[in-house]
Amino acid sequence: MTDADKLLVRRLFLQIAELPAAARAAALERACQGNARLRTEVEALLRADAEAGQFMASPTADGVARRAPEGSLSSEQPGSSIGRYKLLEQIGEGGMGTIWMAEQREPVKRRVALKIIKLGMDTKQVIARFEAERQALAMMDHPHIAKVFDAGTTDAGRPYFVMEYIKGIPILEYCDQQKVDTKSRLQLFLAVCHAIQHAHQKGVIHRDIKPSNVLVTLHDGVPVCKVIDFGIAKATNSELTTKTLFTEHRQMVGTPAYMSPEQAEMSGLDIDTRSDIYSLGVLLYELLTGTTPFDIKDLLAKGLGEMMRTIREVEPHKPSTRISELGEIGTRTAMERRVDQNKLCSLLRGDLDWIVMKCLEKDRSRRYETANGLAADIRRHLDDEPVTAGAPSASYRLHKFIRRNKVQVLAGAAVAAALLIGVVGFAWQAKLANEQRIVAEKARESESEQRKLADASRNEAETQARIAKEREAEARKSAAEAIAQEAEARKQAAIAEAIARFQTEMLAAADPQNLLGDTVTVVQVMAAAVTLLDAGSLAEQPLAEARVRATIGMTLEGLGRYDDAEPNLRKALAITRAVHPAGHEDITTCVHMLAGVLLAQNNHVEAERLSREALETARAVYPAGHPELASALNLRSMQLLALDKNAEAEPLLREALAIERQVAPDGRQGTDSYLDNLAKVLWNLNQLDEAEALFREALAIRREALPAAHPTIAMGLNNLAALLHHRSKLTEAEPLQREALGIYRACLPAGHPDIAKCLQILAGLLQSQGRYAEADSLAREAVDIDRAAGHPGIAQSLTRLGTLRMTQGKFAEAEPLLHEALAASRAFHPAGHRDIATALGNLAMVLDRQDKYEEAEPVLRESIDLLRASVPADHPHLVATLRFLAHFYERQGKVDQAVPVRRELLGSTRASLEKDSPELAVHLMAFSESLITLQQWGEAEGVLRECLAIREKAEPDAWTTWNTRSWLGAAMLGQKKFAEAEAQLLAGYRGLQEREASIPPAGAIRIPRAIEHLVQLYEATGNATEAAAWRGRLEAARAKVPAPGTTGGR
Amino acid sequence: MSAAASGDKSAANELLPLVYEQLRRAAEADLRRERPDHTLSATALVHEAYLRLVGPRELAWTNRAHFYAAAAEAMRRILIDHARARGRRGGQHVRLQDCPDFASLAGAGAEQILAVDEALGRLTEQDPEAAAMVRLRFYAGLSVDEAAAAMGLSPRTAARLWTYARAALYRDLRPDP
Repeated sequence: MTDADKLLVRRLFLQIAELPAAARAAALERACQGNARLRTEVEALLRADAEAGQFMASPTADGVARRAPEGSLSSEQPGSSIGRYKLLEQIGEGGMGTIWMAEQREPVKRRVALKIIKLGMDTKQVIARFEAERQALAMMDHPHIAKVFDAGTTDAGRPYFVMEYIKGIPILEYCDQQKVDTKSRLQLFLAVCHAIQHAHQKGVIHRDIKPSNVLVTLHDGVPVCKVIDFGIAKATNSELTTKTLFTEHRQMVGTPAYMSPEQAEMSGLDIDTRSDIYSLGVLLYELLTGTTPFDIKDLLAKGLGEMMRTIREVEPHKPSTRISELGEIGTRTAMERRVDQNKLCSLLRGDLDWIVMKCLEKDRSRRYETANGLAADIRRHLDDEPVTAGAPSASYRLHKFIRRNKVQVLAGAAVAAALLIGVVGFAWQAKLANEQRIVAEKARESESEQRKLADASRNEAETQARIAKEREAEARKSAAEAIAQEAEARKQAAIAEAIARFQTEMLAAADPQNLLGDTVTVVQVMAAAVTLLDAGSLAEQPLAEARVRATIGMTLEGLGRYDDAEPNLRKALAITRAVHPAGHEDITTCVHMLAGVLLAQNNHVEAERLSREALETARAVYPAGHPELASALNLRSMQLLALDKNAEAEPLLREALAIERQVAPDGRQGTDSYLDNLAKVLWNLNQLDEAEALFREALAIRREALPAAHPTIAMGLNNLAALLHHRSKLTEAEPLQREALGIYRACLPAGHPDIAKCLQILAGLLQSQGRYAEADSLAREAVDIDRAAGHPGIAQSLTRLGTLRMTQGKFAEAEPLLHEALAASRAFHPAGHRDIATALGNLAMVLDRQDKYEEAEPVLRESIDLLRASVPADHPHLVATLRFLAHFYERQGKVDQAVPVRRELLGSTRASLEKDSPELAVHLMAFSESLITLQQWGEAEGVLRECLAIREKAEPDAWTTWNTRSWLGAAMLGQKKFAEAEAQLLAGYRGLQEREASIPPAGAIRIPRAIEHLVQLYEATGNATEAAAWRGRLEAARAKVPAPGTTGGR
Repeated sequence: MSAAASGDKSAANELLPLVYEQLRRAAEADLRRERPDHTLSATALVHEAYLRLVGPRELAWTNRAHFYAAAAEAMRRILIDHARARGRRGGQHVRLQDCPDFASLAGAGAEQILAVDEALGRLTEQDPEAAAMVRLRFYAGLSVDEAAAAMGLSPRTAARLWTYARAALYRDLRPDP
């Protein structure tokens, strides 16, 4: 059919369809004029139209109601009747409808409140649902709950509810107007809690707790709370989902500020009583501070998706923090509570903070179980008794901290995981202490941040298509998974039960306040869980198994049991790889954790591969600037850092940091670990100023965000103290180090490697201050711990103890320790790692001190070879070792071996020193002396001239300068350039003579040496008189020299 | 969104995954419940998705039109996926005449859902304008006026087009006389 034909058919069809049935046949006949085809088509359509019935009849189910503009239905006016209720006065307007004061006429005459819903909802459904709840609602009888009497439909088809009429004002307004103080507010709030508790016991969840639903009315002058609107939320299906948030005009109404995270999830997760607890928490927050946890305007400004994410994921500020931030508003807030701002802040800090935040936990299993529990804690606070909310403060905060790390992503196995967290709370602390680790001398850090940003990529269409395909596949899978979910929940409950049994049996005796617990017990719990898993208890829900295994793996890693953790993490990774598309956050989670464990086990090859793949995947899947990318960059950097590839790591970390700063400008969500890592890298690259600044910044962030005794703070302290020590800022470093040790001792089980590390670092500090006895006992303790646990840190603690012994002059004791340290270094580091060079150097030193030159030399050479291969030529470590080697040879008189070393040394130092630096002069001088000993006059001359030039400019009056001149003369002498030789030698001698007083005893030999050269000169030129004269002076000068064999200053 | 408004096809394509994701999540929650009285409303879902992606700001109609076109397509796919996932298992065989809206069709048997989709495909080939109308009204839940605005028609023309489109579609589907 041509287009023209089609148009014709359509037009005809429409025309004729409008006619009454009887007239159609004739009209059709007329119009078609014998065109059979046309007629067939039109007839077919007419028939279809007649038979279609309800097919696609009302595609917009609420279309009717939406089309009706507001207020056009005039049946709701004061004085009109609805059922047996007479409307008197409109008393409110909400997002859902209007509230009227009405009069009930029969069977009893009384005032009621009538709420008419008008969001265009399917009335039958609403009423039906309300009926279901009505039984429960009828059973509620509580002085603080407004009763719901009845429900029905208006003539216009809108549902309405009839409730007890409460003459009062919303609780917040009441409290602010009357300037109710905090204590009294809490007492009012207690009543609300009791009301909610009553309801929950009757099986009714309010679902819509907010200040406007809590009215305060006065009975004989006493304020009484009444909670209203029970049951309505469910009935109208307006459970604070986004469905409430639009009207026919598509404007946003209502406020999401009271929405619990699971309500913001929109995933169909069942809302339970704990959602009410959350809302109570918001209410309490507002009562105490005058604002909601999340600023309403802020939320609305973000757009819906972002708003939901905020509610689900962002941690709000504590009430006390909020008050202190509020500034002017805070003053007013405080006034409304009859205190000044500071006092309010301190009132809130502590108990009330904890109580509120416990209600606001994202993970609902961590909230108060019951409203009574909440009320009880508030009462305890009012009575000055310790509250339960904040008591295990470390693990509580820890949990918060974990939340910002990807652990929360694993909350899919919410029951099992949460229970594991609850059971092994302290293990998370240890986990956290260990969480940031790499196998490097400085520390191991392995924290990565996961954020659930469900943004589709906005890049090329190709990426779009791929993701869209993945989503389709996921959608298909999800339908199947949905069925599996119920079974999954049951299985998880079974695991949780099993673990709970273990918990009861094994930890029953433990004091819940004692966070140290028993490591072995926790491991047994883990082992039991693993046994269950291996037996296939979650075989049908692989994702659940993956998540539980990941949790187990992390817990074990946190306890330092890397070998036990590894297979679980491998399995978790394998499962998530099989189930999810590339780049899925679950996979990334597992990759990060497994890489962390591999690093801890020193399996560098595989860890390297994993981190490289993770980064490539992240770059491919995520757009630039995505936090996932930052996390992968960080992991890769840590890997590189473990291999001492600092130059490669630096740009990656800077990139990660830039992303973090952009995404989380408040710097709290993981920036600190990136800062820490970058600082370490820069330290290795010898950029110490910036490294120190970064450590400080990271520490500041941690102190701000965490409680005082948190292992992560300890780590930050360690790092900063270590750097300060390195920069010789000892007095500043020591208190930091001690604080770190204190934290570790408090938080970790007694034999934990981090304690050892901390001990030996502190020992080093004390050693540098000469406090050997203190240092010794700490260092010995560190070695004992590390030996017992077999941890890689043993190399450092042995080194510490060994060098300490050396400083004390106990070389024979030091030697075996340093041998052992070297062996440990070799065992735990990849070949060529700088730490091995350090261990070699130390060993060489102790051998050298015992004059075991033959043993020392190969050790020293190996150290240098290693360093040459791994650091730049001017690296202090290499320079120091070369110096040592040169000196080593010179002391043995092996000048010919010393010279090439000195030459190399000179080359290195030239690169890093200024051209006219006196330090360079020192090197030059030392080099020249060796050259002269080898009679390489020509080269010596050049070197000496350079040295002299520097010294004449920098310190013309120092005896050393004249000494240099004398040696220059010697060099000329050797080349038989007698004239100049004489000039230099004489000048040099005179200069030295004039400054004899300033020559230190060690340098006393200089003058006789200078004279010797003059003697040689005159002998060589045949000037017997002068030669004899000078020989005489030589005798005299030699007599003045204190003792032979001292090595002189230069 | 304004890129989409300028008629840029690739921009409209860009919208689809975003829209799809939002709708999928919301629809899924509802579809999963599969209660006979479930309240899956295409309109509600699409409006939610709109709010999620666009926020409370008002947009010019042309932009919204693109959005709704993408939303309609997304809803259609969701329905198909839902049908395929259900397979032979679920959904009662209902009379098509008893399916006034998206929700009711969602409760129908898989074969029926797919049959409707195929018929829509044929209609798209023969009469793209009519098919577009069906998509906007049925899958995206737009009212006649809203669909009119989206397609650039007068409300009266749109109303007539809708009558025709519905008949044309049903004609393809109905059992042979």
